[in-house]
Amino acid sequence: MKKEMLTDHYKRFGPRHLFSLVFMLMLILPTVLSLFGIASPAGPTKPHTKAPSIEWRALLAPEYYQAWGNYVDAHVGMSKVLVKAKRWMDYRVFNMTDVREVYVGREGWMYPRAAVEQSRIGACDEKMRLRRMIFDLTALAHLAKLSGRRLIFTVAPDKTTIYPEYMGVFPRDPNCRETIYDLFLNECALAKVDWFVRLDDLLIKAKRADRLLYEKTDAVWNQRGADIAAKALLAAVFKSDGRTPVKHHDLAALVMETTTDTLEPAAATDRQFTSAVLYGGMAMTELMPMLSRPFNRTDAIYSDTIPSSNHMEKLSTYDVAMIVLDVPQLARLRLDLDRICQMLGIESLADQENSIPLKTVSGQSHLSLKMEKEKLKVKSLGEGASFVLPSLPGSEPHTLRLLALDMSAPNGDTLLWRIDGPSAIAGEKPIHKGENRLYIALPVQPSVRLHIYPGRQTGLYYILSANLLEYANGLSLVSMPETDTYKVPQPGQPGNIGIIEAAAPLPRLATADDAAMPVVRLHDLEGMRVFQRNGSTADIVVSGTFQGHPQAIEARVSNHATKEWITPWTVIDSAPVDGVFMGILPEVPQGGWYRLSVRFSDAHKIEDAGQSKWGIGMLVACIGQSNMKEWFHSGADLKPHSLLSLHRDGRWMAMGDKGNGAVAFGNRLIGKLGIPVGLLDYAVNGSGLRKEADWGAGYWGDRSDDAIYDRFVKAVAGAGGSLEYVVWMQGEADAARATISENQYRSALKRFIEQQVRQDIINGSGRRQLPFLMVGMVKRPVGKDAPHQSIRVAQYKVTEALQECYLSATSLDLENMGRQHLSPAAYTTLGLRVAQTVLYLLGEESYYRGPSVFAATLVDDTTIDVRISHRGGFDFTPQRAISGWEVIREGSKLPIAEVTRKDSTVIRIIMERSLDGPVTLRYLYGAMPDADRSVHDNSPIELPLEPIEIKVE
Amino acid sequence: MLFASTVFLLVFLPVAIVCYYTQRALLANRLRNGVLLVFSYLFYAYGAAEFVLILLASTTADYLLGLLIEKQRRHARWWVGISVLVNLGVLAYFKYANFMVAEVSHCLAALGFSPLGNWVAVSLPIGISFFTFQKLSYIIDIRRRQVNALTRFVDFALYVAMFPQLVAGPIVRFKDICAQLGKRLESWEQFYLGSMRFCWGLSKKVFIADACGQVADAAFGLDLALLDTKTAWLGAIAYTMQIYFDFSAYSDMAIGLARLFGFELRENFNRPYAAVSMTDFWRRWHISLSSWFRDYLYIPLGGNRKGSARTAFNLLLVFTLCGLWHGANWTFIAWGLYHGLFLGLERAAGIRNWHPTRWAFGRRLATFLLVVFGWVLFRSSSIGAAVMFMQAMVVPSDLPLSFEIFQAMNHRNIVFMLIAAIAVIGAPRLPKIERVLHTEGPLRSVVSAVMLLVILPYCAGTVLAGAGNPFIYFRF
Repeated sequence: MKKEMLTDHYKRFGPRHLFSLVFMLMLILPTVLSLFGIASPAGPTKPHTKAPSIEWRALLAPEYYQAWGNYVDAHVGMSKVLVKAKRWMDYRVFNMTDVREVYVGREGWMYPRAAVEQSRIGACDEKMRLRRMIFDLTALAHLAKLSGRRLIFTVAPDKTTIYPEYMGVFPRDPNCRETIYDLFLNECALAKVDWFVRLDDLLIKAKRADRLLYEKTDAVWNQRGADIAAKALLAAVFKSDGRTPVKHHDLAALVMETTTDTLEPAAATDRQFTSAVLYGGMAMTELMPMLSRPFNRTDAIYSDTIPSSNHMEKLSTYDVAMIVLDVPQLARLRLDLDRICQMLGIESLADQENSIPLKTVSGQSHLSLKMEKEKLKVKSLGEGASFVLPSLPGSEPHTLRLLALDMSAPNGDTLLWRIDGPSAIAGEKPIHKGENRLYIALPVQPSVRLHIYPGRQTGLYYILSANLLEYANGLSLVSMPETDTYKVPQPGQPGNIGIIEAAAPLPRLATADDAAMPVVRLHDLEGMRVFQRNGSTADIVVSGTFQGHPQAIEARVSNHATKEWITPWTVIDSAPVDGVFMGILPEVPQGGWYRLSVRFSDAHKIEDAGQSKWGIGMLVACIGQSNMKEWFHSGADLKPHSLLSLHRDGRWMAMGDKGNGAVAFGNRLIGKLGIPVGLLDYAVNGSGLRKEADWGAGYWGDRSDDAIYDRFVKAVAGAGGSLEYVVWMQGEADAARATISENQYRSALKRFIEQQVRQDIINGSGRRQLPFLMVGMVKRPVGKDAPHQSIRVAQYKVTEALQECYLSATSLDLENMGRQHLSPAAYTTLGLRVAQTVLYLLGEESYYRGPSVFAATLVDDTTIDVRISHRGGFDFTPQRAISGWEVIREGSKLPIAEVTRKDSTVIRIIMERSLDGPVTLRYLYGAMPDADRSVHDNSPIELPLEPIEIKVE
Repeated sequence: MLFASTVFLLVFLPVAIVCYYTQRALLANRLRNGVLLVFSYLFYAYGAAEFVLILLASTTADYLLGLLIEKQRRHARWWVGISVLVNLGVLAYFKYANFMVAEVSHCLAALGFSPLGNWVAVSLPIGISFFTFQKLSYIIDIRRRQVNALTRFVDFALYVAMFPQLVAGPIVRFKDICAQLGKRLESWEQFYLGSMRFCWGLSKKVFIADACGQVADAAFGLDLALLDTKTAWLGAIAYTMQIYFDFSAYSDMAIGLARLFGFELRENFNRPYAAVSMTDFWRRWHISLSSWFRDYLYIPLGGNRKGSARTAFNLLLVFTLCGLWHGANWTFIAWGLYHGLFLGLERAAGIRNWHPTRWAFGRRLATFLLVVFGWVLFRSSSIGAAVMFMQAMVVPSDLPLSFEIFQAMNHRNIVFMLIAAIAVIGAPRLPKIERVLHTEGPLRSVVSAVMLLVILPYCAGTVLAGAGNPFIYFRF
């Protein structure tokens, strides 16, 4: 056989040898190139920049291979060349592409795939929503005009609208052939609006004159297209004052002695237009240079929400607002009428303001109304509860009427409103805890019946005032037709301009006038719900319905299992009316699980008892990214305490077996405090803090609607709005970006805590501010040291800079098996550490942090003694071969011979060579420090020595 | 790990080849099976790390049982029984437990009882259907004294886990490869043929199978109410092409990869759509599976030797199990029964004994259509969906082509579907790739150059762009 092989080996070099070698070369070349550093750099959308460390223990973990796969994908040499060549061939030879966002039409014309898909989908369902939007825009444009400003609106036509001939033939929706853009144009034409600038006609006209307005390979218009649009928009804002001499910077015009127009506001106004704000999407990019010329200041905001939630711009500081939407944005546009009206101070512009007597408001369903001094008290049973205002005069041609409603809410929630009648419309508005001023533009119809659904949650609302504002010469909008049907948007669904079902009457409640048998029905609490305690008790809102004529309604709380009374029968509503009762059962002691009962005070047998288990205890929100998510999902080593409850996706549920971190944390607290603990699971995998760290999952600094932070705040509101602690475990996504500095992360985190979390969530802890418990970012086998260290240091500094912000746990000593996430056992440890912090803050423990370094001194030229101070323990381990220490001079690590325990408070570092000057000493530094034999104290939970970086001289 | 992935193509495979041939040069092939075994386990761990220990444990168990069968011939039946029980038990648990629990729950619910609760769904270890059958073939062949048990654990473990065919076949029979485990020849010719066969498979997958797959996915993804006759036929034909070109591509790649390391695997396909009967189809389609069922189930059950009724029963049973082997779903069982039924009818009508050239065109067309309907059963999510799909195929209706189909029918997909159609229609007359590669001359050089310099970079680009689809048979 050997002879055969040798013979074969030495055979004449032929084609098969050549092709075999070429085959090998083709396979090997990319890897070899990347080994020599000639690799396609990791793209900005790939967070994995460093190879995972070799870890034998991780060989049975799928994530470990995934990490390698990601690394290889990001680092293979020639990958860009190969992909580019493949895509070139697809495009040139096959007239197609595998890129999902792009559609290739005839002759290589490219279109955004979303636009192509939208161009064939009928949008007839959107008609009423668009109508409402147009009506609101009309109202806004008029109000802007009254305040001496201008509002201009346009939609940049899709490439599919201007150049459909290259798109190919697509089947259209047979039931509705009008796209959202067609519908919008039709509705604008019907309403004869003056704030809308129609561009498609202009562009098509220019196209017929052989002008290329969209490049073959671009999604939005080119400069020529933008120029046409800009001229049309400016013409709507300004009027020409005739021909005036050319300015001296236009040399060509100077030579030709041509004249140009100067720009004056188009409408009669007493102010000059010097500043403008642009809202919209991609189409704004080319427009900006042209639109900004006439103004001293122009701001462009890429947003679907006006005003933007993130930029916090003040509309009142601008003279002109231009909205330049891309077609897909038509479906997403959200006008926050309340904020806009407040910014513009529209009350002062009203020709007339009429107060609506609140006693004329009548209840409709699931609530009771009562005048208290000047206010109207609304006891609402939550979802489905509604009241109706008296008939109001609607807007008329040339008269715009707005309702301004002042109300206070017990919590953040979503208010729905609905107007019946020929122009039946509806919408929703976010409301905040405390006082809110809401504006609703009334449609064009003789009279308007406005129904208000105050919120999803049971609670006590107050209507403080209702005023009808009247503006003359405002509308050219025709009355809306009567023939459409509508759907009721559920609270929480996006879009404040949705249409709700006119004919969806809620079940009518029995009233005291009904001659039926007297009965009381409790509106039971959600099962497994934990109410945030206030001190050691909490006030519970009790509500329900009744039939009959009770003097008062009483409620009491009993133990769910033993039926023992926890509170005596207490009157919660002394004057129930309208078949609805509501009141507060005060000072229910912390504990659980409980159940609730209600009865007539004068007929004790008329009673109802709830079935749900609920309790009063501690609510802790757990937010951050995947390591916090894994805290709820990794490991099933512990059995959760029966008093541990979980709030996830807006619902309460019993804690399952999964999630070592959450279970260890909750069990420890319940074991010590004996009260129910509710954990709010709102971490989001891969989420960043800053916008640059948004890898697709969102970022916490984003305040826009339905962003991850908004969803979290809404969930907290649903759980009562108040928390005792917030636990934060995040940072990896920002570190992966590798360009976010320590300062940037620190300021973003401070802003997040101070201006978001502590503003939007009620502090239920009884401390000065809502405690924010930070978990230091974990070790990561991918990525470089510096960005990780920056994020970690920023986190530590924020805990030092802000009151009630605590470094509740460090995690660098915990095992992560070479992957992104900690091991299940590590989550248990972490849960116990964070629980220790909570118990410390409650005075149940005397310490929560591990030992820290307070000095490092040179003993001789090869020895450094590091002095540590203990908190919970008095000694530490290991005795020898301590890992995690680095001695640095001028950026280079100096070799360490040995690190040992000298005594209970001193760690001795012996260098291999003598130190000839000052050095920097650091412990547990960077992305993946060696913490296999790191220092832990001898406290019961063996807390780790905190990371440090100090100079030794 | 997928063959069509960056890690496999550009890291794993070249490193495996370099290590293998380095040991060949330095250690005179003393560790070649060991090297391949290490890479095979890495290959498996990359896709299913959590199941590596199951693979190792079951391999060890069968290795020991094989030795026991050979040493204790008197108790061989017991050892074989244990092996069959353990192997099929593990397979049944991982592959069918979820299905069984769901069906039992449905039944209980229908009878008014509360359904089974707290069942945690079991994940399917990749390739379990393939390596389980390979191990069974080893045990049974030893019992039948057709081969001797392997004494070196490494050799047996490599037979079970050899990465070219580990996760999606072909199912290698032990007697076909036992000699090669100890003695095989690596040569430039083998390497060349292997590399070309691998490229051929890769190109079939990337160009043809994925193109057909996009059209099939679009058609089968449509709301059944929007399905008309032409779309249904387009989808059914596209899936028929896809499954053949996808699976045969994988087999080509497996055969090619094995050749790179000196192994010669048996062909798994022989132009199945040129079959003139269902019996003929099963001689050409997934040959390694059909011959396994024939040799280890059909013939031991009595085959056709015990009368017509028993033969029909045997056929139905074997093909029901064959369907079930593909997955835990009623559609697979129905697909198996469907084939079993037509095989029985052919046998009863004596069509299988006809000369292949007799009414060849009509028979080929009829067989093809029957196979197409069979694939509709196979591809559909439920029996009901399959029936509605078939109804759309046979009851004429005409609706505008859906947008999804329009999108899938881009130039590239149309071109490659046409190529696929030509390949299928002209199958008997077109030369096989093996013949082209074995024939010295300019054609071979041109084919090789195109495959290496055009197709391979294009396929690598597709893989790197993440634009490929996984192989269909990975899920079985």
